[in-house]
Formats: sequence, C-alpha cells, structure tokens
Amino acid sequence: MIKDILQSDGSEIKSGKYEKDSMESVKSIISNIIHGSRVVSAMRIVTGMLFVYSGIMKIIDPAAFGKVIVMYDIVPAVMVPYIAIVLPFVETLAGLFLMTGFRIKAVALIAMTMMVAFSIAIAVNVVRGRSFDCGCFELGRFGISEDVSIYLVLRDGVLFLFFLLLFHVKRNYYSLDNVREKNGLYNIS
Amino acid sequence: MEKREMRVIFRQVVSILICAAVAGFAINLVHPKGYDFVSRENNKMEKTISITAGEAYIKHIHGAAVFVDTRDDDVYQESHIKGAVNVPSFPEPLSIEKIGAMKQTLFSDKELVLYCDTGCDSAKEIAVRLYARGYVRHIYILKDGMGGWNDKGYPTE
Repeated sequence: MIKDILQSDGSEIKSGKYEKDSMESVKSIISNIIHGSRVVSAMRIVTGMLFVYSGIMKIIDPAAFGKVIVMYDIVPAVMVPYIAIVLPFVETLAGLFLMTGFRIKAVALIAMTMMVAFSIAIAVNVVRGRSFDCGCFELGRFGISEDVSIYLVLRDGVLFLFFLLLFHVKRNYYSLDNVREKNGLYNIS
Repeated sequence: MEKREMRVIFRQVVSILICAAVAGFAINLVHPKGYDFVSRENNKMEKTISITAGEAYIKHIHGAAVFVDTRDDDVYQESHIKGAVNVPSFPEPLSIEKIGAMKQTLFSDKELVLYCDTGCDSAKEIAVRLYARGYVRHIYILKDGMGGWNDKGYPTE
C-alpha cells in the first residue's frame, strides 16, 4: 500500500519505497536473529558465564543450596540431597557448553527445562505469599536482591525465550559447533 | 527438525545429565559440606534430644535457639516462653501449613527447642513433621514442658 506523507516543506512524496525498505530491514533483523547474529552469540556467552558462576557457588556449599531447596517446599525431603548435588553440576556444565558453544541445542533444551521448573517453583511460592532468597544466580553477593517474587518468574520467562531462540538459531558465532560445521564434521557426534 | 537430529540432541542431553550426576556424586564423596546418604533404618533413628528447663534456659539467654510452643493457639496466647513462636500440632493440616509458612524461622542457623505442657506428645509430633520436611539437625524437646519452665521462674510473656 502506498501512503502519502508530508515533507518538511509541505510537499507530498510517495513513500511506498521507503515503507518497503523499512519492512525489509525489520525482516532482515528478525531473520538475522533467527539465523544467528553476533549479539545472540555474545548473549549466549554471557549467560553461560552466569550459569558457570552460579553453579560453582552452589558446588562450593551444597548444604546451603539444599536449605534453599527445602525452602521451596515442593520436592520431598528425601530428594533434596540428590538435587543439591546434581543440579549445580548440570548448571555448571550447561554454562561451560554455552560459553564454548558446544552442543548448543542440547544445552538450550536443558536450560529451557530448568527455566520452566524454576518458574513454577518460584510462582508457587509467590502464590503462597512466601519470601526468601531464591538461590538462583547467587547475585545476592553483589547486592542484587533475588528474593522470590513475580519479577523472578518474568526473568526466568525471558531466559526461557532466549534459550528457545538459541535452540532454533542456525548459526552460532564464536562456538565449537560452528568450527565443527565449518570443518564438515557436524555429523560426527 | 528431522527425527534423526532430535534423536542426536536427546542423546546429547542424556549424556550431559549423566556426566553432571557422576561428577556431582563423585565430588560429594570428598566434599566437606557434602551429604551423607544413610540407610532408611538409620534415618529413622531418634534424633530428638530431651533437655531440662535449666539446659534450655542456657540456650534461651544466649539466643542460641528458637523456642517453639506446640500447644494450641489460645493456650499460647495466655502465656508462653519469652520469644517463643507458636506452631500448634492440631489440627494437622493447619500445623503443616504453619510449618511451611514459618520455614525461614524454623530452618534457620539456630537450634530448635520444642515444648508443650508437661507430659504431652505434641512437641514430638511437630519434630516428626519437621524431619519429614527436610530438617536434618537434632531437635531439643523441653523435658518437663511449660510447667518445668514456670517452676524455675524463667521468663515468660
């Protein structure tokens, strides 16, 4: 559709081409994101670093992490030690793989599952009206409050969308997966 | 996405999870803050310790323990140990709800001293519920209950 717009001097110009161009650029940005851009790859590395950091902090003190799991009051007490021991390693490995760009789709799938589980756990406790440190990324050490709240559910929702994007991204810059693909070794797993 | 690709991704997910589990349990064996996995029989071992009013008072004056009154709410309102919180053992659903709501207080770094009236079982019932909800440390139960505390003239409110 061609629309008429006014120029600064009052004369009319046909802006069909202009509109088409802007549509094209929006399309190209979206396509860039879906096919993989450097920004998405940079975000992947930063998220990976965050996962590694929070995973290691939990590995250092599994008992404290176990206490946080107890606070959620969702899983049976007998499961707490197993989760407190294994989950930090899943997080750390996922973080390392995100950073290095190795097995990205598999890691994105694991991270998406984690985000769904965490969101449900936090949302249940928000509904219960409880407030305690969520033990998510250990950001409390930097003075960033991570008390259970609706914002944390939203944050995990945003992270879920990011991992969903990562799962669909075709090309990942700065990644081992990319190096393997370039060398024609992608099918060797 | 191709079926074959999905299968490959699924295999990778499983292998990552197995690696994480193996690493987690291996590190736990030597971790100073790790978990000990004990047999169920051992786990059921009595972990409550009966203490006298005098011993409890020492914990009270040093603020080393959270005192939990397990009697009914109206009895608690009449008189209770100074600073004690109320988690009644009856009715059970309300009691469980209250334990959940007060988790931050009950699962703190402080010890727990539970008490009820003299010769009652509600403190033990609460102890069992706390263990069922993941409490792992010893729980102290005031031997002579509120009566023993009052006899000694220790602070109430």
